Amino acid sequence: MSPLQAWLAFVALCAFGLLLPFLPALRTLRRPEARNPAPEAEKDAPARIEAFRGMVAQQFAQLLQVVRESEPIQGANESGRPFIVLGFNKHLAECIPPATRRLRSLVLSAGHLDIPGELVCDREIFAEGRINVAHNAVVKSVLSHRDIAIGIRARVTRWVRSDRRLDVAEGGSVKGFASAGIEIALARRTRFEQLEAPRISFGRQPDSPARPALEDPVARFDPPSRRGEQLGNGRNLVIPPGHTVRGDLIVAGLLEIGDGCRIFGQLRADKGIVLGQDVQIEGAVYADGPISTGANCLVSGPLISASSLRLGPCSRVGKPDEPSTLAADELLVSEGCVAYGTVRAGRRGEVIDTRISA
Amino acid sequence: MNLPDAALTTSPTTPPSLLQRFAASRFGQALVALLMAAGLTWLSFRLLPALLRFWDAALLHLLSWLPLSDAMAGRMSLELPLWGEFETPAIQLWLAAADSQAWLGNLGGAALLFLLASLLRPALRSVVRALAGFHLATLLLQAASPLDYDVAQHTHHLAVISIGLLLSLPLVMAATHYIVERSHERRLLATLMIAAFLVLSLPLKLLAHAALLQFMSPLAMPTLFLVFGPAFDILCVSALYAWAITWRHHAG
Repeated sequence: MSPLQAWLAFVALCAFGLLLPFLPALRTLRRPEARNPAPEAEKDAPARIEAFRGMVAQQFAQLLQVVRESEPIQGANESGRPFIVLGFNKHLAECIPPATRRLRSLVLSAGHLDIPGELVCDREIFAEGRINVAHNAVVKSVLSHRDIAIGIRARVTRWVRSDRRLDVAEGGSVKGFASAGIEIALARRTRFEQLEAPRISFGRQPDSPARPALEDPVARFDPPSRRGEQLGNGRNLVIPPGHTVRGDLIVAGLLEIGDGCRIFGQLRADKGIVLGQDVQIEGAVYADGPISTGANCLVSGPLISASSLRLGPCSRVGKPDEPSTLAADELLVSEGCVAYGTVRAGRRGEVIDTRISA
Repeated sequence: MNLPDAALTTSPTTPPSLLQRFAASRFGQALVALLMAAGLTWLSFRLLPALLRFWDAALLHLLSWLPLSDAMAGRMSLELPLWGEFETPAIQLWLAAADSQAWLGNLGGAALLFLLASLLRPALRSVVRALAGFHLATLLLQAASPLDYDVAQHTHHLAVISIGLLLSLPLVMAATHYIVERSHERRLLATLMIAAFLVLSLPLKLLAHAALLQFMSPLAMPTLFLVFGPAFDILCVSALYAWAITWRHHAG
C-alpha cells in the first residue's frame, strides 16, 4: 500500500468514525416534517361519520334485524375485522370476560348500549338506541340514532355523533369532532375540540336568564378627538360603560368595551378585545390577540380569536335562528354559556369550573 | 359467549409471582438498573488492562501503515489519588518549534476563518467566529509564553478523558437512560453500543490528532483539543444516546 493510499484509507476510516454517531440524526433530519393530522381528521370527520353510517346500513342492517330478539352475534367482516351485534336488552358487559380491558371489535346494538367503565374500545360503536359510555372508558368513534351520554372522565378520541342529544359528564373529553341533531351539553371541566349542534350548552345553566332588558340607546359614543393624523390615542380604544355604538370598530391595538354597551357593527382588534359585563354585540368579533368577555354578554355574529378566548359566565354566541361560530386556539368557556352553531378549539377547549376560577 | 382471541385482550388469568411483582415494581426496576450499572462499571474496570493492550496493538498496527515520521506508540501514566498510576495510550511525536511561516499560516487561517464565517448561517457563523477568535487568542498566548506541552501529553490527556468517560458511562446511563427505558436488553445494548464506540474510536482519534498536528503545527494544539477533544466525545456520546432513547418510541 502506497503512503497516499494509506492516508486515504485512514481519512476514510476517521470520517466514518466521525459520522457514525450522527447517522441516525441525519436520517431524522432527512425525514419530512410530520404533519399535524388533527385538522385533516377534523375536516374528514363528517364524511367519516356518513361513511360509517352507510357501512352500517349496507353491511349490518339485516344482522341488526335478526339479532333483535335473539342472542348476540359475533364474527368478522370481509376485511377480517371482528364485530359484536347485540339485540334488545343485551348488555355488552355480559358478552365479554370480566377482566377485559381492551375491546378490538366493532360493536353494534339494535337497542340501547352500555359501554362498561374503564373499557378501551378501539373500533367504532353504533346503536339504534341510546348509548351510555361509563366512567373512565375510552371510545374511538360513537354513532347513535338517539342520545349519547359520555360518563365522568370518559374520553372520545375521534368523533361522536348523536342524531338527538349528546351529554358529556364532568371531566369528560371529546377529542376530535362531536355533533348532535338537537343539543350538545357539556358539564364543567370537560374538554373539547370541535362541536357542532343547533344548541351547545356549557356547564350548569342558570335557572332564569339574568340578562337585563335593554332599553333603546340612551347614550351615544363620541369618538376620541384626533391627535395629528391618528384617531384618539392612536392604537387603543376604550368605549365607556353604557354607550351604544352604531358602526364598525377597527383598532390596531387593544379594544375595550365597557359594561352594558351595545354595539351594532363589527369589532376588529389586532392586540385583543376586552368586553365588560352585559355587552351586546350585533355583529362579528375578531381579534388576533386574546379576547375575554364578562358575564351575560351576547354576540350575535362569529366570535373568533387567533390566540385565546375566555367567555364569561352566562354569555351567548349566536341565536337559535342564526347559528354562529365560536373559535379560538385556546378556548375557555365559563359555565352557563350557550353557543348556537359551531365551536372550534385549536389547541385546547375546556369548560371552566367557575367554582374554582371564582 | 366467547369472542375470538383477536377481538379481545384480557389480563392474564394466572396471578404473577412475588418475584415478578417485585421486578415490575418501581423499586425493583430501580434496583435492577443500579445492579446493571454497577456490574457494567465493574466489568469496565476489569477489562481495562485488556483494553489497554488492544489500544496498544491498534496504534502499533495503524502506525506501521501510516508514514507518520518519528511517531511512536506508548503509554503514559497519571498519578491519581485513591487509584495510583492510571495508564493510558499515548503517541510520542517530535515536532519542530513553530517557525515564522507556521505563525503566519495560523494567523492568516484564523483571520480567513473569521471573514469566511459571514457566508454561513447566523447560528453557525457565531460558532465559527468564536472558534477563530479562540485560535487567535491561543496564538497570542503562545507568542507571549510558549506552551510546555507536547503531542504525547496532548494525546495522553485525550485518552484520559475518553477512558474516564468509558468508565463512568454505566453510571451516567443509569442516571439518564435507564430512567426512561424499561427494557433491560435495550439498556444493556445502548450502554454497550456507546462503550464500543468509545473503545474503537480512541486509537483513531489519537492518530488523527497526531497527524493533524504534524501537518499543521503545534500551534493548533489548543484549538484541536477544544474542537475534537472531550467536547466532541460528549457530542458523539449524546448523539448515540439520543438514538438509543428513541428505540422505545419506535417499538411502541
